[in-house]
Amino acid sequence: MSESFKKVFAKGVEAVIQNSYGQDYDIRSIVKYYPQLIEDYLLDVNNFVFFELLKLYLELDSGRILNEKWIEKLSLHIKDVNRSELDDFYLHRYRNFGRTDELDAFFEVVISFKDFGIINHSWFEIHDNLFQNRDYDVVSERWLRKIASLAFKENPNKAHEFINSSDFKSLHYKIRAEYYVAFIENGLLDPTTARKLRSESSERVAYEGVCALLNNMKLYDDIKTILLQFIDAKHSGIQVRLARNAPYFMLTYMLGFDNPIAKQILEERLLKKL
Amino acid sequence: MEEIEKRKYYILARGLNRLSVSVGEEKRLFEEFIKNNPQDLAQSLDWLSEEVILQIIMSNKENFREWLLSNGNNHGEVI
Repeated sequence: MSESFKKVFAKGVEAVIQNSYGQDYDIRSIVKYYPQLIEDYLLDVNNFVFFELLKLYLELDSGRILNEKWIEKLSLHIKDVNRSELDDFYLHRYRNFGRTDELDAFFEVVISFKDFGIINHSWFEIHDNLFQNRDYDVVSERWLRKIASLAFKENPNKAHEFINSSDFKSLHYKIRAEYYVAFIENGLLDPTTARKLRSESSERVAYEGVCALLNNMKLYDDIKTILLQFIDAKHSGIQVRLARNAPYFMLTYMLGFDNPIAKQILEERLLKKL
Repeated sequence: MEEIEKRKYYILARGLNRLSVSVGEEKRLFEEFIKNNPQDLAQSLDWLSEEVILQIIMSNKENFREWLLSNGNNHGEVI
């Protein structure tokens, strides 16, 4: 294949991508069924087109692993960029996504970058780049939880600092809920933080946290001490959820619940020894 | 032509369509391509813009007109 053919083909890929944002049938077919055709020209397409192709590549088959040709191109543009350039990249890309599938593809790319060592930042730094000081309406809750979970797993001490910081309190309640769930799913909840969660001003946050805890009890050796922090919870949703899903040995501690539905569930479970 | 080949030449044609209206280095790339890759051009012809066809004809006044006509391609009509 001549050099000029490669360059003209790369121009064609650019033209198709820029006019269709990856929705063109032919380019989708090529990326899906004959990615090797595109891979030969990756070095010749511009960055915008490259990232659109990468998103498309991952979107059309999320189980794909990037081969050396994608990595080579990624390395050329990402590996040595400085912090502010990376920030710009994240922000620019992130803010321009209007559709969920685009956002999903973007986050998959970010996670691939990290997995392949193209981004050397810690998960906490990536988290900060993506989510810190971001308005709620541009935050993808699902991906927030995913990235936060990876960050918490990587650095549990920092996770504790973060959850107990004063900045955390000022976050939108839905965002706080996502963080608590990520925190609990990593087995990081301690009695002090559990107490703080119990005292959450938002019922939704406390409820989501308790649900996550009940779903991940096997991660906690001393689940009794942690659950005891919620025994005097006032939110009715939490009382009902605990009455329904807490281990049997915890039920007698809950007899003081004032919610009638929770009381009824407790009564039934105690009678039937469920 | 196989499906994959068709798609490849469709993309190539899109590249040529874009390059034909550019200037400088890209224009030179376009001119070099139409001069040296007649076979690839023939395969892409169905997706080329009329403007590209005209430019191809203009830069190959003698041969290309004959070549197009002998291939019986519809684009020959624009000559």
